[in-house]
Amino acid sequence: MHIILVVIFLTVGILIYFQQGSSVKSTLSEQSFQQEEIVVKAGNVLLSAFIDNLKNQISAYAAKSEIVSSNPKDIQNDLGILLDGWKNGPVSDVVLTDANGLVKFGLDRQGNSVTGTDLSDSEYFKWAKTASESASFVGNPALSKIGFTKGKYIVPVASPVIKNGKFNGVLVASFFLDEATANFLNPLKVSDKTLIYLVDENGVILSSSLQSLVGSNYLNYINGVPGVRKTTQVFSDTLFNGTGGRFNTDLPGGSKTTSPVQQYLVVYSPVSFGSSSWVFSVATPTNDTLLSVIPFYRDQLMSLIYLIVVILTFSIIGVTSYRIGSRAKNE
Amino acid sequence: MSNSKKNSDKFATVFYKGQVTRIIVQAFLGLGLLAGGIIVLALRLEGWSIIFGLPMVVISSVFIIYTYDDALNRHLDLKGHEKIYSEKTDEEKDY
Repeated sequence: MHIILVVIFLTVGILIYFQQGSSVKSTLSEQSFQQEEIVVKAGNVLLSAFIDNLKNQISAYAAKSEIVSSNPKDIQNDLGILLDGWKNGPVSDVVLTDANGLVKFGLDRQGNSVTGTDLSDSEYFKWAKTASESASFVGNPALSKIGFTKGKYIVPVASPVIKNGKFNGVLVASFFLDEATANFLNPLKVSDKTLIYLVDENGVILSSSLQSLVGSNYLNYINGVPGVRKTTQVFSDTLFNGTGGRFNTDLPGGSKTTSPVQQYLVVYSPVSFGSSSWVFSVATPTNDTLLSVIPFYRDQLMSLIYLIVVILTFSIIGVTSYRIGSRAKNE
Repeated sequence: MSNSKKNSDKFATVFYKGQVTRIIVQAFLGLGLLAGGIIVLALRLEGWSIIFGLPMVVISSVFIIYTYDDALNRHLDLKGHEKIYSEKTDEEKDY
């Protein structure tokens, strides 16, 4: 009877230990999901605010008399001031074309003058030719092939320059997509290992905490990692259905060969700029989100050990008194 | 030394020496199993902790209690025998 009681007390104690632990874990996971949702929403708002700000600035500059008059000295000075205003920001360069799409004046943030490039084939130039004054346009992200921006995704923000009611060129500022997301989202990361992705509608990574992934197709990438094949279907089903959401999944932490697959809490949200439709995704390793539970787990373990010690002590006292009592009775 | 005293010493040696080692081994096994069970529980390995940890802790606790009971029984038996032999020795002395 005594042993049955010991077994019951220990089993119930251990089950309570597990039940409490799992409810704390699920509460923390829920909190982390909410934290990530805030990061995604904040990222959306900040990126939109930045792009709106840049659009307004570009359209204001495009309407400036110094730009419209095409005075070389004033223009170079004005482009310099514009770039200086984004000194620690993600803006990479500003260029002004003539009515034929040839760059007349240009300045990158390293101070180099950029002139002579023909931009007449670009989507924003074609748009600008028919656009009204003060209108602005956000182009699709494109992988830069020249200059110091080479290998990075840049997004052009353009506004037409109208002189005497006629199209006279286009003013274009470009910004690094990865720097924009890093500048606005890195301070909001849930943990150091939080991964932030900006993926286009085809699954191509436009911006990532892992530079090596930029430009590659995310679905192909995770499909090639052993142990996460199921994740590919989850991604294609949920990430690109046009709505935001969340899920738990296994993901590689870094490069395919060196990083082990681990469980992540993923929150995603669609982002739309002009004709572009992207997906913002924030993924945090589940283990990182549960770091704050460690002190609770430790205290809980101490309580369990205390319970075991108490049960054993009382059992030993009980056994001793029973044996001594029965001996005394027999004698 | 009297015959009964010799018998008493012989009994104590045969009864106690081998048993002590066995009981010590049993106690260490029980405590080791208990510590292992607690470690498995502390690791919180999904599924495995409850499958292995719970039975390990319960079985080891029961094992420790039984080992203690066994040791106590033998200790009390020994005390009883010592008492009987010491009484007999006194009787022999008186005789």
